[in-house]
Amino acid sequence: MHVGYGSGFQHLAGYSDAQFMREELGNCERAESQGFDSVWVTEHHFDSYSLSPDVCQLLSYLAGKTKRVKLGSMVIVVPWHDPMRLAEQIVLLDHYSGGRMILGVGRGLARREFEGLRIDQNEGRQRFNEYTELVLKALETGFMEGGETVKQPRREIRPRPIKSFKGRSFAAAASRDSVPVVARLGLGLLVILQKAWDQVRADFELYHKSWRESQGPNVEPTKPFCSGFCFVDESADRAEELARKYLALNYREALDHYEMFGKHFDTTKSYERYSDLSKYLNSIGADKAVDDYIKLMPWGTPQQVLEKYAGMKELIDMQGIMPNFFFGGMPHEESVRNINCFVKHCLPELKSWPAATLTEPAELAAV
Amino acid sequence: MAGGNFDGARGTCRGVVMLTRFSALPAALLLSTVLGCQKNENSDDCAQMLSERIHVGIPQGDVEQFLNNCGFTHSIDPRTNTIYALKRGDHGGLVGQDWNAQVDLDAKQKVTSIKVEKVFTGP
Repeated sequence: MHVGYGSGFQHLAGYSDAQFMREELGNCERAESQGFDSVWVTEHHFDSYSLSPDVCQLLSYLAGKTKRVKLGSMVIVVPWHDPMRLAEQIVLLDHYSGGRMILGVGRGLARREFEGLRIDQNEGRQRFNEYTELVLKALETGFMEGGETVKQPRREIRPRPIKSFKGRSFAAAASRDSVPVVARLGLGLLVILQKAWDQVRADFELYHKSWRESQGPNVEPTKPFCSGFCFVDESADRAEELARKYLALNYREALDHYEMFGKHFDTTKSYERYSDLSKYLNSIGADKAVDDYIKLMPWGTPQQVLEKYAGMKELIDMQGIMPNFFFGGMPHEESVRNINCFVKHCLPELKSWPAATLTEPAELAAV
Repeated sequence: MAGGNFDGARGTCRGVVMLTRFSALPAALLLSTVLGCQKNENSDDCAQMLSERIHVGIPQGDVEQFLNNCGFTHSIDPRTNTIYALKRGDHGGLVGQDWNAQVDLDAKQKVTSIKVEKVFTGP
């Protein structure tokens, strides 16, 4: 199984951004030397939840610092970008890295990010569908043209794309409404651990049904990748105490960042699913929500973590994982210990598990 | 592999040099010298030792013991039979200095190639 290093660049510890960036960039750079298969970063803006506002720029830096690892976006929030510029950035990153990018896209959720980027969140769904289709097509053809709202005049992507993105393109679908869209676009699913497993299973059933309808019965869907937050320690007691502490801080920050207890989802077009989720969270309260979230995550002794991943593999048959190790305001030294413990005790075993392998991207015809 | 297997005459890990010159020292000293090597701030010594001591044909277990003794974090990729190893170095400034090692093994878990390099992390 593919095992990547994920980072949300979450900085809750209060010291300088400069120091934190050095620390987590260092962790990302070292992932290659430690045997990870890939490095994945998120896109978020404006607060401590994530200091990662430009995925392609960050992955371009890592492309220059690494030779082997794949470089994943989990995710580029497509509605926040001009599709033409985005296609150019993705292609440029693929040139810098020799075709090592794994593309992950998403729709975005946080009101503060849409507002701060001066984009109407009510347009989020429409923008995601339209822009993602334009970008994916451009990555294969080398030009972009059309779009219902952007009306992009035909322009070439230069430098031209070197390798196909088919088989290495994914999308997060936190909202069930997004699942058929992702299947129709021919994308694999990026599972971001946050839902109860019965809901995830139902999403996959919908995904496979939608895939067969849109892609045909003879085309196998791309196996998913699964993100999450991992805390591993050889001491079960220490693992539990600190996993609970840092995962709770991580999730409370997420609840705040996404304003999950707010009522704004009621009046935001195509975010009605989140309105239901918000009502549910309000009904159970933050403490219960945090507790449920912690239960989803892989933490514990190395054996416990492996058992948790085995359970996930059984449920969703992912081709790879990319856990975060530095989150919730933990000291940098703790993140290093966490990574090292995982590398030493979990990584070889996880890599040995049979799984679908990432499609090696096909060379595109040179023009 | 015990610490005493290091060749002190090669001038690699300082603690190990002392061990080989005074082979009658008790087991406690052996342990302390190995630990001293692990925590040795002169990472160049251990990396140099890795380059000299890990050579084609030696078994995986010995490689891992060498890496452990020198404070490397390592793991084997069972899909490719490659050992990846990292020793974090100085992180005091903007740029950090680490040591990386990559050891390829054959089907009998014997070394076929090794690469040890000093790398700089940071902008």
